[in-house]
Amino acid sequence: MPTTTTAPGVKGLPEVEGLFAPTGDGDGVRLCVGRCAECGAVFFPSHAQLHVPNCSGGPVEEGLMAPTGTLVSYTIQHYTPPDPYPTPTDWEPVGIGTVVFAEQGLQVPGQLTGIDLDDLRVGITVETAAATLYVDEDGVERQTYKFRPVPPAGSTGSTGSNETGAA
Amino acid sequence: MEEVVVVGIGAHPWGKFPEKNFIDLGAEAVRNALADAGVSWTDVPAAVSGIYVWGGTDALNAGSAIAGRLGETGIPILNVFNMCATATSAFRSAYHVVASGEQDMCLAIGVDVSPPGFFGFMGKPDPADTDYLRFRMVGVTNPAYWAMEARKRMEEHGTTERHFALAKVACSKHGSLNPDALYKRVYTEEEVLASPLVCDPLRLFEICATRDGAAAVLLCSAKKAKELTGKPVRVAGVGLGSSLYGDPTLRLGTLAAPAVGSAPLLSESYTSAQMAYKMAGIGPEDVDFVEVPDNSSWHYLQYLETLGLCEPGEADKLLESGETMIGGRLPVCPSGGASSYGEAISAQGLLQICELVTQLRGDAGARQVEGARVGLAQTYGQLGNSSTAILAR
Repeated sequence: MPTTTTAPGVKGLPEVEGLFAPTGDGDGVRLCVGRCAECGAVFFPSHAQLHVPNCSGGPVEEGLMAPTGTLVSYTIQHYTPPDPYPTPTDWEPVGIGTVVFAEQGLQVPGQLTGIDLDDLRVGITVETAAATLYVDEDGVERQTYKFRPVPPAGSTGSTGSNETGAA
Repeated sequence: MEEVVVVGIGAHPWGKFPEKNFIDLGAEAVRNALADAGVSWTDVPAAVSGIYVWGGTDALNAGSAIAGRLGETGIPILNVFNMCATATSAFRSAYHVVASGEQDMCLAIGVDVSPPGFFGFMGKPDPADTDYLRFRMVGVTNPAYWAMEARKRMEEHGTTERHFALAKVACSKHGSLNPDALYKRVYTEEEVLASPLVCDPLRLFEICATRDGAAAVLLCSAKKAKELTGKPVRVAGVGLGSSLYGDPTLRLGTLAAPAVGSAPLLSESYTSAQMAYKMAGIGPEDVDFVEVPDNSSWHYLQYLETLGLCEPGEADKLLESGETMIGGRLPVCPSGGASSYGEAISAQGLLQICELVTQLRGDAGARQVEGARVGLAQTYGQLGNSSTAILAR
């Protein structure tokens, strides 16, 4: 569920509430989705609702995206994004990927982390993690969600791929 | 319904004009369209104007502001905004003013003064606005969305970086023949592939620039046109489309789309084109040339398929074969497109329609599509709206 509290292993606070929630396993998070109880459509964010035609519009139940998905496309953004991205002064080209969460039937764009840009490939499995967006004036890390390759089996920090989404 | 024709076209050149405001641009475009038609402003009984959102209150009421410059006459003026479809939406509404018989003429106006660089966020910081979230939380720019669609296309259809470069080469060759184009340089494939990557796989020369511009078109009933001296061009079909549920396009300003599509990619553009085809009583096979929204090289290729002008995945071959060049089977963007003009969002659709009229009059000079009888102009559809115009002689 959406939360503003800091979970074990997760430093800092989400920049925007209600977009992702800690899994409790390291810095792993899951995206918060909405699911229409009537038409079954799944939404991210939960308020960005595209219902099946003639659906009465709800109720929309809160749920969570699967923690892992498949990278189906990516780009390397070579230039600094415009305001209101809290741009660091030392901008380096960043990977942005489209990740498919098959169980929820959605594709979602997000920044990619923890991978050399030369190693980006369509088809790799990625997990969702909290990552620092910027440090605010009080010294608090403000966080967003990013996608990173699932570590090889046996290494620590993986949330595993057998976990199912609730949505 | 009255038969409707275009009797006048006019534009202000595309470019950057820091010494001018949008009213200067819009008024010049209208004066040029009226001169082309041989009609006085005081004889114009109605107008529909696109507005734009970066210019303050006057720009939100652009048609009225431009009318003030020309001298207020009390006519009905509708101001419309429909994202990238704004100008052709104005054209469609102007069409209906005449087709319904309410007025025998109506002016359509589009004008834009664009901010430089990447398009940023236009509203107030609001976590309920997914456009804010995509900039704030992900920093994903418009070209990044296009680039991710482009890579999907590479995976699905085998499109290569060379195809994206060839689209720019093709547009630049056409633009070089157009005295009104802003960029007239012919690029080689090697030059395009040597330009910096903006959002891999899309390069700097494969993404259109934002520019200022204005265009105006005077529509008229076929009956009234007999009183005028110009060469009328018939409006065969107008379309305005919104998205279909299940469209897998990751739309600009959103953070999710269906993983598996149950509707066409760019469904708002598909529905718009289908509406225009139906109204015109023709199909894609009847189109002699087309102005597509070539915001990037991905758009150039994808729109040929979205419009049904070739099968899915076949646009690359069509481009490679040379058939999309003037002299080929289906000339694409004979004007040079946004690639050669830059994009002035709220005016671009009417610029495309001006090109259709110029071609169908046979006035296109070195870039003339010989024997052209049917032309189609299609806008992009950023947030789920798109528009189409089919003109014929």
